[in-house]
Amino acid sequence: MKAQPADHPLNGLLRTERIPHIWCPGCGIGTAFSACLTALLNSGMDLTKTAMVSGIGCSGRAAGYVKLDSYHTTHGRAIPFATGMKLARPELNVVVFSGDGDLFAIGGNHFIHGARRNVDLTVVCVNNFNYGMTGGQCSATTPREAQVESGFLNRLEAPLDICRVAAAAGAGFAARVSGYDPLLSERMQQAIRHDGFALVDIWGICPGRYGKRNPISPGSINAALDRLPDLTDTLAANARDEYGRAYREEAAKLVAPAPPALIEARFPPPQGGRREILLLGSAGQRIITAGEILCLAAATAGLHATQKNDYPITVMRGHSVSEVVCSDRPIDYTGIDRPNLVVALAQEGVARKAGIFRELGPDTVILKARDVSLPDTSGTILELDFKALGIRSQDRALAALGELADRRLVLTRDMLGAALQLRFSGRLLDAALKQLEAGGNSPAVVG
Amino acid sequence: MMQARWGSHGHYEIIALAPASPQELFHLTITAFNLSETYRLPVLVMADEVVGHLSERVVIPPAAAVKTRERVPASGRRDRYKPFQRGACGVAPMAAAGAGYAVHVSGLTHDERGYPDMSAAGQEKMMTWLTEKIRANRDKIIQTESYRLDDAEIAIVSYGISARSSLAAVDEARAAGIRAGLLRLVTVWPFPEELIRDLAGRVRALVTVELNLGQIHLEVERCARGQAPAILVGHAGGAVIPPEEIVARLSAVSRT
Repeated sequence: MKAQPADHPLNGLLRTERIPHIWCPGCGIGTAFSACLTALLNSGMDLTKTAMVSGIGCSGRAAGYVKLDSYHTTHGRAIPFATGMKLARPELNVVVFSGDGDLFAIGGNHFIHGARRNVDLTVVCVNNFNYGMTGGQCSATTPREAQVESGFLNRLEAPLDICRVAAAAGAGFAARVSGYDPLLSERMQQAIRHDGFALVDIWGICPGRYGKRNPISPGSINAALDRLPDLTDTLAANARDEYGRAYREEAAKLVAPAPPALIEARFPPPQGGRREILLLGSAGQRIITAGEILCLAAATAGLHATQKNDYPITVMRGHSVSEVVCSDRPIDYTGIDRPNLVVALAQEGVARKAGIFRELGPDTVILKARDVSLPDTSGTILELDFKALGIRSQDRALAALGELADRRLVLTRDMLGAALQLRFSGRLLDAALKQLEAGGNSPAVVG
Repeated sequence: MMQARWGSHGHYEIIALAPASPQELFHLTITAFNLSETYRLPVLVMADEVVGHLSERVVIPPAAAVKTRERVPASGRRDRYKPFQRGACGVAPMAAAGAGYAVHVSGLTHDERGYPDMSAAGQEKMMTWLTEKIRANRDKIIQTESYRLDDAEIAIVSYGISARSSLAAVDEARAAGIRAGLLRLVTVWPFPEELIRDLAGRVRALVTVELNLGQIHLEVERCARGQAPAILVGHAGGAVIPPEEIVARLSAVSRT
């Protein structure tokens, strides 16, 4: 191959020291690449603020030849890479240049979400209907009747009309164009000008692989393109705000959250040493909130506290367990093997930790709801009849904390009140305080 | 742990940090960014499930009190800049996109200009450099904490939440007359090889406590070079390793 001529009009945009390139003679990538460079030159954009991002494959090598900030990224990931770049540096013009295998097969999911998200990217795809670099296997756009190196596989799958996918996914600009169309560069300029996600799907010939066994020519490409449905109306209906700008506008409206509260030690703790508390309940009983309140209460007495929760991945069914450790020394081991205190508010939570009850001695206090039954245990049982007291299931945990505070087990009324002030505000705080007051008149009985 | 170290093909060095508490998770995340900026390298923050799900007091310092480091930017003549030419500490100054340097970045093995160079000589040069950049700075990167190690007969090596069980186990073992100590790995990769080797030369046994069936344990065994037996206290996860289990093993080791 000849060396790059010194007076080539695109030399300013080429890493001429890397020429000759690797592409086969007659490959559609060359035409598409030079049309893309011409479009960039004619766009009037500041080219020092323009970046090209490629994936993997023959077309993916384009980034290695263009004299811009250029990134040859992992297979299928050019669009997420470009998305990050455009969001971090909105002043950049970002062009993705890659092939059908990279963008639509390996990176198909990123492509769909790129179109849906509408970040201002120009995606230039050289669509040559196969994975050329790896030997001519079928890609997402291989026609069913084509002969490719992966045997019959392409005959079983429908090829993607990627512009239709882009339109369905929300792109505002998607153009199918033959790599031999004299207006190719103009179409690319339109895509570059489009404020949002824009796709140029360039149908080209892979002479080294696909073209060897499949009769394909500029004429057959034009005929195939003509048979595809027009997308003008769908694309027009997708017009909307560019993602990055909309994101920055929305983010600017957000008020910075207040810094986290600095909790002062204000109260003497009711006991010294390490206390392990197990809260056992079911979904919706606010067990985890109760664990948080317990930790906050501990902090108001200058104690260290850890909380580890256990619930099924969903939140509206099953057990809800919170393990809390409070200590006047820094907490090393965060597990609970022999709790000092067990609060049993629902059968689901008890079932989850059924194994521990046998191990408990009389020094462990178990505060249980009357309608919950426990496995055999030597723990000291206190019982609360929530139903008789008219306490709703979702209020049991807070009522139980009130009971513990009255008995000065782990926390006091002062600590609990201060913790509620830290955890809640407004109406929720009033409701919690009121509920606590009501519960305070109905002590638990030894079960 | 090993996926962090060897999660990709080919050879490279990586930095991975193992926080043992939510507070440390906060600080090590800042450290990770700083290391990443300093060495131009991805840094992994390896919070285990318990540290990741634990609620505990975290003090967030004012932003002005947080020390941050930034990468060395590209400077000088644009036509002479090579994006992968070694600078101070073996790290190449980095040009940001849009700074006018027209850099090329590729996942392929590359030369100083960033251009693909798959030759054996090219790979040797690039990979040796990338490896050396971390190896030569190990002392600056590696952080560990020692607890009652000075006169220890048995050294525990642990990291993450298991290091907190180990801390409790050291005190319990000491109370029972067993001279145990703890080396907590804050930095897991690069691995503190010299430290483990020295430790192995002066203790009766090395006990690795970790939430798996023996990964860092094998590294400890390798670095001990037969000077002291390496013993594993590990389980497959789902709960924190109780200190009693560690003490029982320390006790068994001390009797041998």
